[in-house]
Formats: sequence, C-alpha cells, structure tokens
Amino acid sequence: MDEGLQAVLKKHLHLVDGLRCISVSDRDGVQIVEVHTDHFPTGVIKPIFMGTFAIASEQASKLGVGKNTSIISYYSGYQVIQFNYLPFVLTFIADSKSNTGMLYSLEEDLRDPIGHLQAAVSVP
Amino acid sequence: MLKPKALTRVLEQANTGGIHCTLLLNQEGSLMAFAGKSEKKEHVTAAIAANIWMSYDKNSNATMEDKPLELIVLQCEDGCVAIKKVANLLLCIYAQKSVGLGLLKVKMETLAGYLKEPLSQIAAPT
Amino acid sequence: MEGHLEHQVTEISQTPGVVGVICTDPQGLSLAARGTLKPESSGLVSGLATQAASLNLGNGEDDKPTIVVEFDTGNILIRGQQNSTLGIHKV
Repeated sequence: MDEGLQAVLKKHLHLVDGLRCISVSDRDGVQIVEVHTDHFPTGVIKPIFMGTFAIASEQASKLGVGKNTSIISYYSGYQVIQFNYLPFVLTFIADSKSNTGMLYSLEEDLRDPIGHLQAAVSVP
Repeated sequence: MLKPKALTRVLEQANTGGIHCTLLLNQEGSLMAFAGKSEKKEHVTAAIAANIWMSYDKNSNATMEDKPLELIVLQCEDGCVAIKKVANLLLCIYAQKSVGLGLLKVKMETLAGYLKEPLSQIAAPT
Repeated sequence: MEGHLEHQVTEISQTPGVVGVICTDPQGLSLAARGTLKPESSGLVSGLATQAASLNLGNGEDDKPTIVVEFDTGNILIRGQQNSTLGIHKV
C-alpha cells in the first residue's frame, strides 16, 4: 500500500511549480511516506517539526471556529502547509512564491488515497 | 507614549467584510489590545494563538535553516485565524469562513506594516 | 479597507451575462469571489494566468495575456496583473 501512495505522491510532486516535498507522517511526526525534489529544507521532515502540527492543530480546534483543517506557516523562502488527517498529517513544503491556491487544489486530489490510509487504521 | 484608543481604532479598521476581531498580544499570550465583537473568550484565544506561534517559531531555529517565521494561517471548519509578529508583539486576525485567504493575508500585511514602526518604539527588543 | 475592491467585483458580477467573478492574489489565494467562481477555484485561475504568461513572446513583463477557457455552457476569461488575477465567468 505504501508503494502505491508513494507513486501517487510522486506524480503530484511535479504538478505545482516550486513544490519540493510531499510527506505523510503520523501524529508524532514519524514519516510514513515521503517524496521530494533535489533541494529542500531537510530539517522539516524531522519529527520535531512534523510533530508540532498535531499539538497545534488540537489547540487551534479550541479557538471557537470549529475543527482545524490545515495550517500554513510561511517562512522566509519556504511555505509549509499541513493538513489534518489525524492520526495522519499531510505536509507540503514549497517555495514561498509558490501558488498556495494550487497546493490546496492538489490536496483535494490526495483526499481519497489518504482517506484510504485513515480507514485502514481506524478502529471499527 | 502609545495611545490605547488610537491603537484600537487602527485595529478596528481591519474588521470589515467578515473579519470578527483583531487582537494584539505579547509573546506570552497576554492580550494587549482588542478590537471587535467581544465574546469574553479573547484571553483564551490569545493564549492559544501565542502558543501556536511559539511552537512554529522554535522550529525555524531547529529545522528551517534559520529562516524566520513570517506568517501563520490556521484554517478551521468555521473560520480562519492569521498570526504575525510585529515588533515583538503578535498580531492576530480572526476571520469568518467566507473571507478569502488572500484578503486575510493582505489585511494582515497592511496592518502589520502600519503598526511596525510605532510598536517597535514601545517594545523593548528581546 | 477592502470596500473599493468589493465594490468593483460586485459591479462586474452584475454586468449582464456575467455569472461569476474571482480576484486572486499572486499566490492563488482568493481576494474576492462572486457567483459560480468559488474561492476554491482561485489557485487554478491564477495558475492558468501564470502558465500562460510564461508563453511570453518577447514582449516584456508588462504584456500580460488574456486567457479564454471555452466551455459549451460559457467562457471563463482570465487575466493576470502585477499583484492580482481576475477571472470572469460569462454565459
């Protein structure tokens, strides 16, 4: 199954200019599947960064505007978009000039494959 | 000295077209100024926003090749929240779901640009 | 703050034949949207404008193309500017 998802991510990696990495990790930030281009900030895929999302997303859900669905963090040079598929997290890392709107459209295409992953681990 | 009333009036200017409220807080999460419809939950939301900012900001040192964090946008089912550092305070804008992300971003940049200089004067560098 | 933009977009959307209008920022995030063009389309609209502009025929940066996407049921006109992209859905 992992190989299937990896192939899907790889296909999507080149659809948006400046997209450097697509990663699926668990809530603690441990990598499950990841595809990337030659140059990207490798530190981002460390659990220390990825794990931040699960906590931040849970806190954001308490802001009184409903459940958190995604967090965009713009750094100088890069943008990181993380989507709430808890217990999984989908992360895009792209150049800061990349088209954020296109990245959101890309996420819509990935909903099914990651939904399958969610379904596979959910306790009935 | 900073005039609290004038500051609130500046923050108020962003509260059009679906923006609920605009907050200014310090990095510890204490509310410094507020403009918008009060729901008596501002103190909680300020603390949460500051906490999330701090977590991501820490990452920039640890993992993002020292690139500084510039803006965070939290998207939730019924609205979204943008957070940005201005001088050494945090500016936070709460928007309804109907507000375009681009508009939220432009408002944040505009407000932050306008407040940067005056706030730098009162905030001691850390 | 955004009154002028909102006014312009509303005015365009009320033009006869127009059923949708969208205005996006350079990163494909919606600034204003009306009718059939939803904020979710903002990425694709601005992406198309960027791609089309890369066909630049040596006329310089200022010569931005207008793109017409034709459907059986109507056309979507897209034009990129310096800091925004405008999309109009006409039937």
